[in-house]
Amino acid sequence: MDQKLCEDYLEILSGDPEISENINNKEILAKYLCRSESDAGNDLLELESEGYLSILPDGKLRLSDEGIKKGRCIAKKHKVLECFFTEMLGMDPKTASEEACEIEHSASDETIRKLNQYLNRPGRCRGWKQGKNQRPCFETTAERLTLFSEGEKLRVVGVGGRPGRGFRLNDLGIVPGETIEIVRKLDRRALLVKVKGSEVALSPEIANTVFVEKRTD
Amino acid sequence: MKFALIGNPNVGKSLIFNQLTGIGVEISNFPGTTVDLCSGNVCYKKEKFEIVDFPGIYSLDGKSEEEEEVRKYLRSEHIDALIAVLDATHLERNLYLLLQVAEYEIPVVVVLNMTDEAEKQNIHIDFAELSDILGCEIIATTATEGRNIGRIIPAALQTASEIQARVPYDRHIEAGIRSLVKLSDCSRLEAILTLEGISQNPELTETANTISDEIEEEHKMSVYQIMATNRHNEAARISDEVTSEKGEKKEFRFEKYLTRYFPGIPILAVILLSTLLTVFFVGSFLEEMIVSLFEVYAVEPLLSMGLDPLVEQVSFSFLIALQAGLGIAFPFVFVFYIMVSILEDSGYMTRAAFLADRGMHRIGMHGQALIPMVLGFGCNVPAVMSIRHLSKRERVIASFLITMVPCSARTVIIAGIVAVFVGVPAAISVYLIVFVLIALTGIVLTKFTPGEQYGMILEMAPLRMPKAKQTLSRAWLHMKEFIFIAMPILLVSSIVLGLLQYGGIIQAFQDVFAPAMDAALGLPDYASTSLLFGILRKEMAFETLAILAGTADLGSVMTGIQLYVFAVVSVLFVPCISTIAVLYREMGLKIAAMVSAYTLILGLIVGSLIHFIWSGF
Repeated sequence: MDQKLCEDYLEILSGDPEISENINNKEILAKYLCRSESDAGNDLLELESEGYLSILPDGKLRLSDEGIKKGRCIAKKHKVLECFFTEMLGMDPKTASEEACEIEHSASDETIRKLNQYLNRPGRCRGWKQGKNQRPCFETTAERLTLFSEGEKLRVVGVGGRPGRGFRLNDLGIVPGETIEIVRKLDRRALLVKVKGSEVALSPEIANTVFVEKRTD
Repeated sequence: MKFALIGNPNVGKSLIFNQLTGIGVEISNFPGTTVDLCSGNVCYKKEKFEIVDFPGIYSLDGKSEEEEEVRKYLRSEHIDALIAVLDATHLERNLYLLLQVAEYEIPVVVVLNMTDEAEKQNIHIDFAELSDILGCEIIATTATEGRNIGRIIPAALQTASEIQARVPYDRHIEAGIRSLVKLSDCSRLEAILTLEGISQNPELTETANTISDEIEEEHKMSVYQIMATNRHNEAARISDEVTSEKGEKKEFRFEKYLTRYFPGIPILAVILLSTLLTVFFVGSFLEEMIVSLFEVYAVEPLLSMGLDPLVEQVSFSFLIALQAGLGIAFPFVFVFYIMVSILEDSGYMTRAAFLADRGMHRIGMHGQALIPMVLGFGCNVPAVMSIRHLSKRERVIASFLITMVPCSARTVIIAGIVAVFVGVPAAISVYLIVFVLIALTGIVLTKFTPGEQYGMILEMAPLRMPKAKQTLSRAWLHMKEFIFIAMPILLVSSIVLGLLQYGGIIQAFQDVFAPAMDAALGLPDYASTSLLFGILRKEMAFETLAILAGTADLGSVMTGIQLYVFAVVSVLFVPCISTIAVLYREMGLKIAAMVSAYTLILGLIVGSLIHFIWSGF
């Protein structure tokens, strides 16, 4: 399978964990990527053989950590490019998104990093609204909480998800800037995190809405 | 005069309430067990005061049912003084709520509980300094020993004062609050709530939306998040200022093993299994005693009195219901609640919920739904009552699944019929059939139940040694629910059924259904009557069967497979009438009817399948 297609799959799957959970994922993916359903099925098998994901007996998908990492990396490039096109160049969002979709596969990490730095200058990057699966494009090293392992000390960068959903998390102290520690991680990414001296259990879909970065100190 | 207790879950608030009022409210170590607002009275110097116990909440601005309830109450009712209970071992997190309370400008007395625990953990809090910063009186207590509890009411009467400390919000937020106050002439509190997006006032909300949009653009965070961060920072600042020598929290030695799949899951399985076995053995021993005492001292004397047939039928039904109720309630349900209370008080339940999260997701719920499911093994009635904190979708799924959980009454059927007359492996297979059906039902329901699935966000309760008094009083509270809700329904319906029998309606029913029962399930005609009695109270299916068959040695009148089918059908078939009533109360007519119809059909289908498969061989 060519690299571009592979990256597109991983980008979609890592961006919306609910697709993997949906048993009609083949249909959804085929629609997104304008492919036939049987092609999508073969592609998934190929991705499985390359170790990016596993197809569970019930038809659901589970991305491997490597798959998520790769998908997120592409998604980040997409976001940065799209942000640059709309905010800096004033292109309309649809064209910007399509354009970003093409360039994301060939842009080097360095280019994206520089571009992101440029965008990050105060007052540059606007237009981020809290919404489903939307991430602010100023995040550079932030990743979903579920990608980290037991014992890691992390800094919260943002809490996404649907508006209102994060209230309980915020109230328990999971707010931007706070340091949390993963006490326990079970295999389906249910987490026990230590925050403000108490331990809080999170379901995978909740933990997925929390963006964190490794503490540097 | 009216006081109210407010605080995070698990800070000993309900325990303090109990000590102040002397009446029972549930004291729990599982976050969010008190959903209804409990209130009680306290007498001080010959005067009576009302105290309201709010449910444990983390914040006043959240969107959960409890948080909304407390917020509404604080804004609409007049409260003379709030008694804010703080956990000294988690001061920072508790101050977050207190800082929100400050914004409501109600006189407060701050109770700093669990000071003994804090000392053990090497946390020293400068009470005088905290009192200075907050600008109100601080009472350091140890509720488990009752220390300083007596100072609370005098303080609430005399020295309660508004908290002076205020959260300094981000300058954009402060500017937003100021302009809202100026533009719309509202209070600061109203402005804060509106900016957070939880006010009911549409005019204000419109103005606030423009402001909050701007702030969100600037900060790339939602206003709620910014304000929560500000509050946490202020709470951290205060806590740092007054706390010294912050020692490491001593971990309970086994704690880390409980939350791993191994050995966590085996431990969970052993704990649940031994709970059920203890309940079963202790329960059946006590039940036999109670039932035979009733038989000798109440039922037999009544029958030998030679009363008018109608009077005799009514009083007989009454006694039978009382006998069945007490025979199940005390031995099985009460023993079960004692076991569950020990698990809840020790803080183990929250760990079990964490481990079960994955399995519960499969059947459409999440870890927090484990407790209601476990409670269901004791009695379905309180189990259904404890699903309130789940989301709408989960409540619907839980209603179906909980009513299928074999409660202690159904355990009596399985043990009394199948284990005794067919064999223990067969009895275990009945459980397996039920568990498989629960899992399948859950899997199917996850596909068709509308609504969104919410995940678990659950704070782990600290592990601690359960105290006998606290455990017993909690078990007794569970028990009270059972007695006040289930028993009256049981008595009334037993008398109604007795009258029906007197009027010959039961016989007519039996005549209509007997052929169908025989054809589909291969059961004798009187079995249909027993099943009908089973709706009243599950284990009565067993007792009625024995009475109608004319012998307690059921093995001599029915074949093994007939007994097996009978047990399976009566275990699945329609929840008992008390469960239907509580389902109706909690979930409405539609769900109650759907659950009843589903279990009725499921019971009959599974029963006839077993019958036909067996006779096919």
